[in-house]
Formats: sequence, structure tokens, C-alpha cells
Amino acid sequence: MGRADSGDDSGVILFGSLSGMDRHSNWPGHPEGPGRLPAVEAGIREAGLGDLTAPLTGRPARRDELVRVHSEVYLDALAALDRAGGGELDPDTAMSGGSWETAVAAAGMGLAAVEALERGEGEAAFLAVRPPGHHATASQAMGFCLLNNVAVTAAALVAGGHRVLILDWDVHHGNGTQEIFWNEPQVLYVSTHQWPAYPGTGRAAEVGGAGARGLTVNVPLPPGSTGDAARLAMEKVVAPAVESFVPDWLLISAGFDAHRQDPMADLAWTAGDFADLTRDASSLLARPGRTVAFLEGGYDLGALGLSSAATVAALMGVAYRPEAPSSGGPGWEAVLAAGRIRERQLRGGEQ
Amino acid sequence: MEGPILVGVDGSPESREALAWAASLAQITGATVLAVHAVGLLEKLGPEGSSVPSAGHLEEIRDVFETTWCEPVRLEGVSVEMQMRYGTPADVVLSAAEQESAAVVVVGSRGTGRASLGGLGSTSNRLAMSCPVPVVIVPTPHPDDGRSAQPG
Repeated sequence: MGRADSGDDSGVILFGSLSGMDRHSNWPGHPEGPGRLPAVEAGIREAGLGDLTAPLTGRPARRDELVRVHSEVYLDALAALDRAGGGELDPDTAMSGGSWETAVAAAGMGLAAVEALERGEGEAAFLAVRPPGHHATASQAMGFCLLNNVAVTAAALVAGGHRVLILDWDVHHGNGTQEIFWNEPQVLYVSTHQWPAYPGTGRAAEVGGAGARGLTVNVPLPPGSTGDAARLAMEKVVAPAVESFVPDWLLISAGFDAHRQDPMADLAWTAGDFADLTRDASSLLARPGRTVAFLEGGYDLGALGLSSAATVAALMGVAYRPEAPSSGGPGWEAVLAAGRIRERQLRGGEQ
Repeated sequence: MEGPILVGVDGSPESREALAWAASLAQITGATVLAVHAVGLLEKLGPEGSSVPSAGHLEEIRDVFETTWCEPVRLEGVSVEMQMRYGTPADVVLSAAEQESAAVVVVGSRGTGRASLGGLGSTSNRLAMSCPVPVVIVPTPHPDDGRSAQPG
């Protein structure tokens, strides 16, 4: 397996990881387990990228930052369950003693990344955090998620007057993020995901609420779909929406469970696809130095390491594709259909 | 009774009790039972109920749903339809109740996701607050009691 060739013009990428303080556990044998963050770190190290990243020191999210996204009652309930030693929240999701502290640190890592990038300390940031966040709604834990990490950061940016593009390429639709920003005119939420699949949301006809019509973009992909369909989605569906929105921050919900080896879904992407998507997404932003990628899903530890490294390398502008980009699977028709459904929805009927 | 009797089924003893209660009601009213199973990210299908990814195990889930959970009710002569839908149990039951014009929703007092944030399971709690049709929450029989709840 090759190592990355850094060249001379690679940018400084901030790397934040919670692996040293990760106290969150669902239950023994759960796929969203504490081995995931070391797997990300190993992938980056083995790609030869470790020395090219700058460590990011995180901080816990404050209560006033969390309540922009989550209800007070919900936050109190999670904290109380943590104090009680943990317990199951839904058939997929649980807390242990220590989960609350880890979740608050995960949410705060995005805020710390924004602050560091605003100080000019790097070109972009990659955050190895867990538990993941994009399924968590304002008042409900689900799908392995407790606090919606990317939403907490996006809400802080919106409060600061920014326009935020959230690109969610996790294999599962980010129902929580979509719901939180459904009527928010300062956030463009874009998701590619397998369909049909959990959590059952993310149809192309879901385009945003009355206050933000057109600012939700969903591209459902069929099982077996390869990376070429995702790249087509970026070109045909995502880019036009971004062009008219003009974001000044890009937040990536970087789940790696669309990888062909992942046990949680049936897409057929490779590490090279994540590199290409990162490159394509970064090109959508007019000004560099304003991209933060948050780890979401990704449960095959080998694929997680390779895919994370490929994403970090692409953020640096370094060519590192440990697996060739994939193509030839189904999905092109679905992408084009999603574009048509979206246009029809925006032209006409009420939702 | 217009519309089916919708039951949330997840394989837990409580949900099987709910299905049995719904079957008893169906025998009285002649209504159809619509058994709905929420497909999450994980399913308790492994040894001693350990979790496996739902992806790649959908046929096994369907088989258990049909043969282990629903067949005993069918054998009693009750008409049972089955649906598997992606999502959380509460979201799935709420959307199915609306789309299928259910007459009543029946759930167990808690399912495989244990009640950690309140006295009732979060699913039955949410349904009691949000469901547009009447909701029956079937109590779990006491182990020393030996009786099942029955409509009537």
C-alpha cells in the first residue's frame, strides 16, 4: 500500500481526535465502538500523513452552544442518564457512564476547529470524533448518535452570520441534520445516501421547509452504487445548488460506511472515491481554509483508516488514493431522476 | 371497526403480548391486524439476541417476523398483514398509522430498546403523545401472575 506524496504545496490540516478521552460505549460488540478512532489515526499514520497534520486541541461545547440545536429537556435527560451509569436509548443506541463527557467533547471539537481556522492556523480540519451525530434530532437520540456534532458547529456559524454548506456523504441519510435546519435559510444541507435504507428519510422530493425552500438537497442512491454516481450527483445536482447559495463554510459529515467493505450498508465506494469527493467539495468553496470534516459512520476498521487518510490527503491537496475510485455500478439513473424530482418539487406543489 | 389494528412488533416479550392482545381484538371485531416492524441499523438476531447489522440480514429478519412472531397469531385464524419499514419504532408506527388509516395502534409497554428516559418505553411514550388514533399500551404481565391482558 502506497504512502502519500506530499509535494511542496500541501496545506496544513488540523487533526482533532478524541481517542485519548473516549469513554463512550454503546455495549460490547456494538459496531460503533471505541476502536474506530484509533483506526482513523492508524490509517493517517500509515499513509505517511501524520507529520503533515497539526494537532487540534478541542474543548467541550458549552450549554449555550448546544441549546441552539437541542432542547434543554433532552440535554438534561442525557446528562442524567450518564450520571446513572448509562442505558439503552433505542434499539441501536446506548450510553455508558462517560458518554456525556465524550459527546460534549465531540460537539465542541467542531467549534474549536472553526476558532482555529479563523485564527489562520490551518487550511482545513478533520475531526476523529464519536459518537457520530447526524441522526440526532433536537430531542431524540437515534442511529448511534447523541448530540448532532455538525449541527452544533453549523448553528454557531449561522449565529455569527455565516452561510454554511453541510455535505453529508454518510451512507445513511442525516435525518437529524435535515430536520434541525429544515427552515434555516443560512444552511444548505446536501446528502447522498443509500435508498431504501435506515432511517427511511431523504427522498429527493424533500427540498426544505417554507423558510428555506430548495436548501435541502437529497440524492438517494441504489444498493451497489459506485463512486461515479456520487461524482455525477456532485456535478449535476449539488454544484448548481451550491452555486446559487454561495456558502462561506463547508462542513462535511464524513461517514465512511458507503465503502464497499462496510457491513452496515450496500454501496460500493472505495477510499479513492472519498478523496475525489473531498476534492470536488472543496472546489465548491470560494475561499480556502474554511472546511471542517466530521467523522460520522464507518464500521469496517480497515476501510475506515484508508478512507479517512484519503480524505485528509485530499484536504491537503495531496494525491493519495490507496484504492482506485470506483465506477460501473448502478446509480446514474437515480441521480438524474433525483435532479428531475427536485426541480419539479421546486417549481410546483406544496410538500 | 374501520381500518386495521396496527401493532408494533420487535420480537420482545412485550411486543408479542401486544400482538396477542391485538389478535384477540381482531377476533371480536373482524378487523385485520397490521403488524409493523421497524428496521433499524441493528437487529437482535445473533446468538442469545446479540445485534447484527440489518443490512445483509433483511431476509432473515423477514423470516423471523413472519414465522416466529406472526405465525402463531395466524394459526388462531386472525388475518395478519406484515410491513417492514426503516426508521425508529415510534416514527415507523406513527407513519404507518397515518398512511394505513389504522383504527387503533397497539404496542407493548416497552420494546427491545429499554426504557431509560422515563417510566414507559420511549416508543409508547411518544405514541401516547403524538399518535392521531387511539393507542393501547399493553402492560407486561407480572411473572407470578401468568395471565395475559385481554380486550373486553
